[in-house]
Amino acid sequence: MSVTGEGGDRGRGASRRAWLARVILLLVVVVVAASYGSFVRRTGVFPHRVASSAERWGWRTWERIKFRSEGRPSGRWAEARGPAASRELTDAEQDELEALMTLGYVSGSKPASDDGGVTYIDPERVYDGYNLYTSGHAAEALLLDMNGRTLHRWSMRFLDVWPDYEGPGRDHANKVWRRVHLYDNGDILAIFENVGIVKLDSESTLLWSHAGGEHHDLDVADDGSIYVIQHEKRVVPRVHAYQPVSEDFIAILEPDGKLRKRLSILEAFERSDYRAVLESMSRWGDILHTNTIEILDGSRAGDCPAFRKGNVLICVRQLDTIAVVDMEEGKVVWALTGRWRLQHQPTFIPGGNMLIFNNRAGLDAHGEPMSAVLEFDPLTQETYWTYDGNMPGGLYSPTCGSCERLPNGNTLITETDNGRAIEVTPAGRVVWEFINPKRAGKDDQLIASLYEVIRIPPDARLDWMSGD
Amino acid sequence: MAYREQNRSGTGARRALRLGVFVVLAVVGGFTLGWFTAYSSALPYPRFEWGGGRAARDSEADLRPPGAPPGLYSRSRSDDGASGVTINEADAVFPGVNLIVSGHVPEALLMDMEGRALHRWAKAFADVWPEDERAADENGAHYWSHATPGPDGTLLAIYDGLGLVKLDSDSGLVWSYRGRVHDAICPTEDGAFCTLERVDVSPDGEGGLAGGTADVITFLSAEGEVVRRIPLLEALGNSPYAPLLKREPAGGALLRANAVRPLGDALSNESPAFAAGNLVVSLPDIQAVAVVDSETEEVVWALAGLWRSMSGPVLLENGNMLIFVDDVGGHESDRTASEVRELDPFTQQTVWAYPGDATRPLQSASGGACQRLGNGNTLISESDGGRAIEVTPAGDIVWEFLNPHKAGSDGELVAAIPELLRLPASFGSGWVGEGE
Repeated sequence: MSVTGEGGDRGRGASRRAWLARVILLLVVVVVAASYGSFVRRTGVFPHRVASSAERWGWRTWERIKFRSEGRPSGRWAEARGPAASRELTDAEQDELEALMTLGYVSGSKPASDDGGVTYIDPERVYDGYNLYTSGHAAEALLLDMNGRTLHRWSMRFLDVWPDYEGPGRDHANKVWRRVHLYDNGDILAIFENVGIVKLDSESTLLWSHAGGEHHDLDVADDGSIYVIQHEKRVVPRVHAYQPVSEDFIAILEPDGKLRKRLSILEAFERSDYRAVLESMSRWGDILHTNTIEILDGSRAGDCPAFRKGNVLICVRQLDTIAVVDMEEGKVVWALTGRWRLQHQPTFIPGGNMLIFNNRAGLDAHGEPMSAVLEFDPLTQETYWTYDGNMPGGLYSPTCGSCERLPNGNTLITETDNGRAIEVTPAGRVVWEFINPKRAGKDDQLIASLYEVIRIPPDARLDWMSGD
Repeated sequence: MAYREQNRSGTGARRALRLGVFVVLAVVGGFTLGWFTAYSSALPYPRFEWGGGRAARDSEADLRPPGAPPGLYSRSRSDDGASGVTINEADAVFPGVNLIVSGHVPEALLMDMEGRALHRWAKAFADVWPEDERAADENGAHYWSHATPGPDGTLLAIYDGLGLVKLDSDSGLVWSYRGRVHDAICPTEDGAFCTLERVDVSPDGEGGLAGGTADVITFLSAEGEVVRRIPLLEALGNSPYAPLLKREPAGGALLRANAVRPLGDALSNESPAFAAGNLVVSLPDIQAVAVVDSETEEVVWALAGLWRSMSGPVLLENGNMLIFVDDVGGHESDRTASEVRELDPFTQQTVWAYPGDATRPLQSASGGACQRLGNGNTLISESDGGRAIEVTPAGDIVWEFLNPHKAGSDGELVAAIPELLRLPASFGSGWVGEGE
C-alpha cells in the first residue's frame, strides 16, 4: 500500500510539475508574443500587413453581426432619442415651458405625428421658406415645405455613377449623400462621402461626376467654381514612416467638375505660423478630419486681413481648430482653438460674427453630455449667443451637426445623430421641429442621421419644379 | 506489442498535436493582446508621444548640462570670449540702467549702459532659511529666477521653486515666503503683488484627472502674507476654454504657468475680457496665452496654436501683445527656434517679429523675456544663451550684453540670464552707492 501511495504521490507530483511547466510555457509564449505584437503594431515589421488585414476583417465582421442583430440597413443610423419634449424636464425648464405656453409657443404648434417629419411649428415666429435635407437613409435629397410635405426629390444610386468602384464601402450600394448644394435652376451637387461628387439636374439626371475622395462639405464661388474637401489615403513619411494616413485637401473644381487646384491642408498648416497646432495631431488614420469649407465674402476683411474675400474657412475636427486658409499663398492665415471639441460648421453670419456647432460642450444640468451652438466674435472671442443642451429643446449630437442663421434672426440647428432639426429664436424658443421620418431597426429604434437641413428662402425660384 | 507501440506513437502524436495547437493559440492570443495594447496605448504599453515627445524635451530642459555647477547654465554660443556690454550705440539705445539676474548665484545687479555695476543685492539661501539644509542643496537655491526692485531700494527676489524674499537696499532680509514660487513677481497695488506657485493636485476620480502638480496665482500683501490664490486648473476647467485641458501635459505637471501680469486698460474698451486688472498668464503645457478674470477667477480669453511654448506675454499700450516665443514649433524642426513677436491679440496678425539673424538666430528653449522700451526698441533676454540685446524696430542690435559668468572646463558653459530689465536712468538716485 505504502509503495502504491508513494508512487501515487510521485505521480501526482510529476503531474503537478508538468501542469506548472505548461502554465509557465503558456505565460512565456504569451508574453513574448504580446511583446512582438506591440512591436509589430508600432514598427510595421512582418507580419504587420497580414495583422492589419485581419484586424479590418474582424471589425467589419463585428459590425455586420451587430448591424444585423439591430436590423440596421446600410447608410448612417443612430439610436433615436426622440423629441426633446419627451425627456424629463427640470423645474426651471418646466417653468419656461409653461411660460412659453402662455405666449402661444406650444399652443400654436402642430402636435407631433407618429411617423416623424415636422412635429411642431409656430407659424408666427418661424422664418418661412423651404427645407432641403440629406439624411443617412439613402443617396437622395428632399425638398420639403415648412409643414414637412415633400415637394421634390433628387436621387442617384452610387453604383449607377461608379459601377466599377472597388474601394471601401463597396457593400454599401446605397452609399448616402453627405452634403448638397442647390442651384437656382434645380441642378444639385451632391457628395458621396469619401468617394466623389456628382452634379445632377432637377430630374436627377447625371451631368458629371468627379471621384476625388470628396467628403463632408462644399461651397460654390461667385464664378461657379466648386470648393470641396477631399481626402487621400497615403504614406506621409513625416507623419508616419510606413502607415498610410488619411490626408485632407481643399480642392477647387471647375463648374464642369474638372480639377483646377488642390491644396494639402496639412502643408497649409506646416508652412504657416500655426504649425504648432499640429503638435496635437494623431499619427494614425484620419489625422485631420476636416468637415467644413466656406468661401469668405470679405465682409470682415477691414477688421482682419486674414478674412479677405476668397480665403477659405475650414473646420479641422481632430485638432479642435477652425482656420482660414489663403488659397493663393497656400497657408493658414488665422486659426482659433480652445472653446470647442470635435466641432462642426463654423460659419460667418451677417454682422461679422461666427456661428459654430460645438459637439462636446460638456455636461448638461442632468449630467448628460450636451452640444452647443455658439455665436461669437471671431476676433475678440466674445460670446453673443448660445443654445445648448440645457435649453428646453435640448441638444446633443456627438458627431456631425450643423447651424445656420436665418434672416429673421432665428437659428436653424441640425442635431444630426438624433435625426432632428430645430429652429430657435434668439431667446432660445423652439419654433419649428423636424424629426427624420426615416426609421429602421426591429422596433424602429434607429433613426437616419440628419446631415443637414438648409432653409431655402421663400422667394427662391422653384419654377424648375413644375413637373412635380 | 506492435499494437502497444502503435498506440504509444498515436498518443504521442496526439500530444504533439495538442501541444502544437496550444502553442499556436497562445502565440495568436498573445500577439493579438500585444497588438491591441499598442493600438490603444493601454498598459503595459508605454505612453507614446508625437515627434519624440514633449516629455522628453521637458525633462531635457530640466537637466543641467554636463560639467555645470549648481545654478542655471547652458552651452555658450559666443566663441570669441567676449563678455559684458559688447555693443552700445548710445544714439540708438533707450538710455537707463539695467537690472540683471543671472543663473550663477542668487544676486541681482544694477548696472549702467556700459556694464558698470551700480548696486548689488545678494542673499544666500542658507541665510534666509538656515534650518532648511535639504532645500539649500536644490538647484533653485543657487540663483534667482526673477527680481523686481522697488523705488526705495528694496528688492523682491525668487529662489526658483523654493521661496521669495524681500530685501532692503543693503540686502538685509525684510521678510521671506517659503513656497514653490517661480518665474513672476507682478506688483498689484499698495506694495502688494502676485506670483506663481506650484501646488500638488490630488487625483480627481470624477474628472479622471491624474494627480500631479499645477500652478496657482498667489497674491501676497506688501508684508508677504498670502491674501488669496487663484488655482489655474480650476480657472481653466470652469471656463469655456476647458477643452484646452485635453492637451495632456508631460511629466505629471497638470498645468504649469511661466508668466503672469496684470493687464492695463489698452483694450478694456474693446473687450470685457481685457478689463484692466485681469491677469494675462502664459501656460506652456497647453501652448496657450490666457486672460484670467481677477474677480470671477475664470479664464475669459485664450490664444493657442501660434507657438509650441512661450513666456512673458505683455499687453502693450498700443493694444498689441509682446511675447517671447521659446519655440515656434513645427514637427519638422530639428532644433528649437525662438522669436520675439508683437501681435494683435484679436486679429492674431504678427505686426513685428525678431527671430534673430543668420549669424545668431534667437534660441532659448527654456524661456526668455522681452520688454518694449520707450523709444520703440525691444529689450530681449535670451535666457539660455546668457545674452540680452536691445533691437530697433528694424531689427538692428544696438546694445548687447553677454553674461561674463562662465563655467565648464574650458568656459564652454554660460550662466543663463532669466531676465534683464531696463529701468529709468534716474532709478536708484538716493540710495545707489550706499550699499557699495
